[in-house]
Amino acid sequence: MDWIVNIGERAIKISLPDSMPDNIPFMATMNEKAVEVIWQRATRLLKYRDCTDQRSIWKSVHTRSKNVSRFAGEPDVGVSIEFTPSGRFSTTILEATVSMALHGVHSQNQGGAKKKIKSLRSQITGKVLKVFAKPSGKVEPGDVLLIIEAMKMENRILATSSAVVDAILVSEGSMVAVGAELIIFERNIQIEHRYVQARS
Amino acid sequence: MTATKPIKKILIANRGEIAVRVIRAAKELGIQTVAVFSDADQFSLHVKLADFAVRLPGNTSAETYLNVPVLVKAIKESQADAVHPGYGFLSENADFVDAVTMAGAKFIGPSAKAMRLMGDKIAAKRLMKEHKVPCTPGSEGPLKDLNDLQNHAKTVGYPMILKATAGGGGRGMRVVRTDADLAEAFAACTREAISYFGNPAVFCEKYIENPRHIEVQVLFDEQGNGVHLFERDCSVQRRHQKLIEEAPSSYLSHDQRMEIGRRAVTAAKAAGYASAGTIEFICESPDHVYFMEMNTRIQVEHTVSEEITNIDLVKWQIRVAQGEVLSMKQEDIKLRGWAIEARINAEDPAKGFLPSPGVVSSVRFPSGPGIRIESHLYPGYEIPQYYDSMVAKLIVWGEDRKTAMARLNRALGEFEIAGVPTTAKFHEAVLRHPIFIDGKMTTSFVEKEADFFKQEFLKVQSEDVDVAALLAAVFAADDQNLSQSGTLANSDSVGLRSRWFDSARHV
Repeated sequence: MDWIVNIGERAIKISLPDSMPDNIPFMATMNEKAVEVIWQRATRLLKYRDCTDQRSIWKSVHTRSKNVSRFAGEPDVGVSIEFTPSGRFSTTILEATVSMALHGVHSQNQGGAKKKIKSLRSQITGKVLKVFAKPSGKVEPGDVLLIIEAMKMENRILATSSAVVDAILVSEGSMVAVGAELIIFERNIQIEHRYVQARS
Repeated sequence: MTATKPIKKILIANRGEIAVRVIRAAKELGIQTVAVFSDADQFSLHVKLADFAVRLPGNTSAETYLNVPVLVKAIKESQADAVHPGYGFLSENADFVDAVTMAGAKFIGPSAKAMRLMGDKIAAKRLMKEHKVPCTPGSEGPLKDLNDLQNHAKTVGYPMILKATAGGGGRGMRVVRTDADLAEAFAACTREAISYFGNPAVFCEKYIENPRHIEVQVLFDEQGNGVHLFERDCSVQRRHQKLIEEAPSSYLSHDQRMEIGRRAVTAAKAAGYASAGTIEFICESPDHVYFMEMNTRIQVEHTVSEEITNIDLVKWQIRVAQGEVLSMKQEDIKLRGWAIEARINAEDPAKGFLPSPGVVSSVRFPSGPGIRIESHLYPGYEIPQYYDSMVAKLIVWGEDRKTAMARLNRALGEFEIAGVPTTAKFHEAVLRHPIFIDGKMTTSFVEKEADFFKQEFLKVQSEDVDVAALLAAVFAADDQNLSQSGTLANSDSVGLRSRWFDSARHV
């Protein structure tokens, strides 16, 4: 299966077997280069080597953390990984959006925080302290839409473009999880999560 | 000399890593332990490690770890003969000390009297001055009126800070930079003092911009013998929350170190202090070090002092509470090497330190020479949303600062924690920053260098981009296979992983 990985400005094609074996070498292509890969799920160890060079040795990629976010109805998967490439002495942080490369379908989103969205999802688990947005109300850039409290801190979520609110799905006092839909807008809007944190 | 009174069973009125730390110290001393737990903490590690456990119904701090009547009931029911308060929660609440004593248990810490004295900012400052501990120039007591303040402004100079006497937590404070702003700031600060603390008293002192935060660890027995364990430098902080602490401080010379330590011991002795405590100083320059406040409890960063002195502070807190006399004198305490502690918080530094409670799908701690971990994490642990975000402390020791920094970087690379973003990547970026490398950081370092950190967080070296893409695709494919095969427990797709998600749907 082919995957398109968007990292920053770049889109890189990765081909993986449809069923990816655990702990057994498999063939893959990485940006059109043929590589042999071993993937061990339990330790999240990834080893790879160049297939075209008989003498190439395995390179290990060490992963500290990974987070995959996938929402029903959205084709792109958000992946954030902290990893150390082979031969490096410090961890690299990666934010990517990954989508399956289907025939004739191209990924809409370029990744990153600035994409426009129609529904606002919570990025944190916590309690809705205040809802400032009003149903059918217009919001302007800089307006605080709501405040969510988590781990003794208040986090404000701001609009960075103007829009009209279609529906508000939470109320003050509701508990929300990561990914929970908070507000639906009539059209796509840009949202900034500004974490103005007052210890509460 | 008073006879020792052995403690048999300690109730730990706290949670998280510090509860685990106290349980471990008690076990090594052959003392039984009682954990208390909120509903959200029922599967937490401290509950697992303690001999006994008492449920505190509810989730919020106010219902549980701050609830004195419920805790007193737990002390009585468990027949604990001592209480360790940890840090935070009720650890500096003198009324809790009284309640514990009334319940017939020994409070492991200073007396309520010493705690009250050091909790009163003006009284504490006065005591320090009496014992020649340098204090920030300012009014000795509450300001009488605007006229009084204007007179102080002439001698103290600008910038100046107004503080509510009863204040704390960053509230009821105002920085003033010119004569013109003085009247309005005084009125506003008095108003805040009344509305937040019900006490209009306000005092003023010199405001020190870009200070270093240096603190001295002291340890006293109940017979009045005391020592200091040198200083810690906690200048790497964000919004008054410390992120990295080290001992000793590269800022002080040996003579300055011993002088500040000697003064801290004198001051604590004057306060009638017993147990472990910390005297915090604010430093304008190595020669201008001013008393800030005393923390009358064990601190998060006590570990670095332990590492450079080989003294177990938590065990000594317990031994002192049993009436034991300190076995060491100041000259016995030798400073060895360098220690650094990095706080691993469930916060995403790339998103403005966004708090990130959730399930830790896997965790593997670094190990090897010079590494110490204090944590309540285990694979499958769910970080509750109700409490502090600190989930682990990584402490490294090295023969000098450079070795300790390299070891910290190595250990952070080995640290695996999946499921929630943490401050580990922040610490790595700090270790690459020339200001930290040179030991020249002040308390405004993190805020001032925000752009540096932002760039560091999302920097993939161009030759690593292909392998990064391979890794991202493998994780996405693996996640898809897992969610299709229904093995949801291993997947960390958002929305599939947390009990909170269910609670969010039904509440």
